[in-house]
Parts: sequence; structure tokens; C-alpha cells
Amino acid sequence: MASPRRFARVRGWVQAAFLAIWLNPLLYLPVVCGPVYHCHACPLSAFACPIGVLANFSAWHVFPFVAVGTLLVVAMSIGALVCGWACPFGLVQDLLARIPTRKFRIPIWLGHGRYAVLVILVLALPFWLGTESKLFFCRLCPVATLESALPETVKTGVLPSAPRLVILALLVAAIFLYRRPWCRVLCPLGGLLTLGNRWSLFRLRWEKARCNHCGKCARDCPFGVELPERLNSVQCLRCLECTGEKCGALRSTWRPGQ
Amino acid sequence: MPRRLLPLVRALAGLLLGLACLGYGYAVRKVTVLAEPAQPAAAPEDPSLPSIPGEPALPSPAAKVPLVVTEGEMVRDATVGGLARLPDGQLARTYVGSPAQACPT
Repeated sequence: MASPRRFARVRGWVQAAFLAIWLNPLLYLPVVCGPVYHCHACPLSAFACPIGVLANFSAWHVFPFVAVGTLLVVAMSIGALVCGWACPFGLVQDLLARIPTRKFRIPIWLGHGRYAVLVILVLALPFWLGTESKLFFCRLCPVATLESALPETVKTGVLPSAPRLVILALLVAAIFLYRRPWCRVLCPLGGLLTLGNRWSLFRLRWEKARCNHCGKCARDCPFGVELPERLNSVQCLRCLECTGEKCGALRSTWRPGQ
Repeated sequence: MPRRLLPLVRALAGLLLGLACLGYGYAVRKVTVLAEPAQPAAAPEDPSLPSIPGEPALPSPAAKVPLVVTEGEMVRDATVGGLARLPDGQLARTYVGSPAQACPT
């Protein structure tokens, strides 16, 4: 059985391999929504950003069947596994978090911020104000600033707007103080996918007979999930570190209900 | 139904609903948007009107024509800011010919 440390290393390689899919100029498929948070304005982006598509369709007053279908398929099959193992912005945060600084805990209730961002910034404001508004989500999104506005700055010399730079700077500062602050507090896509954790085909299982209640899984969880009780909760980003504990009480399974 | 099968049924139902949304969006759903024709046809000259030497004819504003697009095309348009909602509620293409290379935001 893999130790948590070995598991984390494997995860880094898997994230890097997925990055080669999301950042692939040979695979240009803008009619397809990718299942990860990745700005479609990035010069190397292969897929459409599902959150950008939701915001645009909301501004057009059109129901986004393709984006909703993509999110439903991913959420109901693997839940937030893509957050832990495939998201490029998750990889950026994981890499920056390797710089040794003291990390603080994020209160669980702050996780509801993801749904506030989704409802207010991604759906409601574009619906009322349209795509031209300065408050349109893509104009504020730090991922868009990092992946498309800054590369554009290199090309054209035009700096991104001050609010964009401030939001990105705050987020980068937060990455040094907290683990995955964007994913756990603000990411609307993570909020949607973690809703599927409880109902998805792939899920985590607690074998109570094997558990000696040592609490090591909870201490090792990088995202502060109250394990094992709140397994498959919306706080879990499915890094699967807890399944590498020696006791084997927490396991992943494709057979819900078994 | 055995109680232990309920999570499996729930997950499969959600998955099927997602696949149905994807299938409907890509294969069935069509939306009408207004688009400018790529090359507007030149207006026929009226021989009864006197021509003014040295005065070029003003280009007539190209009338937007309704165009039926699939939702996949709308997703692509979302990535480049290719559609806008007009005040009357209709959707209109923001480009003529091939779409822009990057999102305007």
C-alpha cells in the first residue's frame, strides 16, 4: 500500500500529464467543454472553460445543455477527482505550496464561498449585466489573468487591469498561507464537482471494522476534511491521500453502496 | 429495490441525465442568431439615377440574416466572444467570416 508521500508524488506526475492535454495546440477543440478550470483564452488551450461557457450562456439567456451535461457526467462519475488529479490550476497551487511556508487551516464554512461565486458572479451578474460589464466573471477571474491576460501582456505590452492584478496577487499570497485556497473557497467549478462527491460512481468508503480511530487520516488530509466521518463531503478534493494510510480503513471504490 | 442499490441507481441516473444533456446539446439543439453575410451582395445600380463623378457610392449597411447554429458552435463562440445579446433579446454574431482568435476579455 502506498504511503501518503509516495501518493502525492504520483499525483504530481498525473497532473503534469493532464496538463499536456489541456495545453495542447495540436488538440484545438473549442466546441467541447473541458472538465477542468482552465481559461479558454489561453493561447495553448485545447478546450472551452465550462465556467466561462456558463457565464456567457447566462449573459445570452440561453440554457447551456453542453456545459451542464459535461459537468453532470463528470460529477456523477468521479466527483471532484479531477480537482485533485487533473486540474491545471490545482497543479499551479500544489507547486507553489511546495515552497516551505507555514500553512493555516481554512474554516469549513468558507467553502460555501464557491457557491456564492457560482450563483452571483457566474450566473446572476452576467444574466443581468451582460458580457460587456466590468463585473463579467471572465474579466475578474484570476485564472484568466494568469493564463491569458499575462501571456497577452508579453505579446502586446498592455498590462491587465488593476482589479485583475490585485485579485491574482491576493490569490498568490493566499497560496503561500493556505493549501488550495482557490479550490476550497472560491472555485465555482470545484463547488459544482464536489457536489457530486456524495452521489458519484467513484467514491471513498470507510471500513469501520479496520478503523482504529487513530485520527491519522484527518491529520494527513491536506484540505482539512474531518475524516473519516465527513468522507465524500463537499470539502473533499479527492487527492486520495487518506486511502494510502496503513490501516486501510479508507478505500476508493467504483461500487457505490457496496 | 434493495437499499444498497440506491446509490448506484442514483449515480447512473445522474450520469444518464448528463449524457442526455450532452446529446441534446450537440445533436438536437439549434439556436437562431443574427449574422452579417460574409460578402454582402452589391446593390444593383439604378440607371435612372444620375451618377456623381468622383463620389463613391456609400456602402449600404449590411442587413443581418438569421443563422441557425448548433450549441457546439455557441460554445466555440463563447471562447472568442463571438456572440452578443442585443437589446431586443436576439443573439447576434460579433464577427464576419472566421471567428476571432482570442476572447475579448
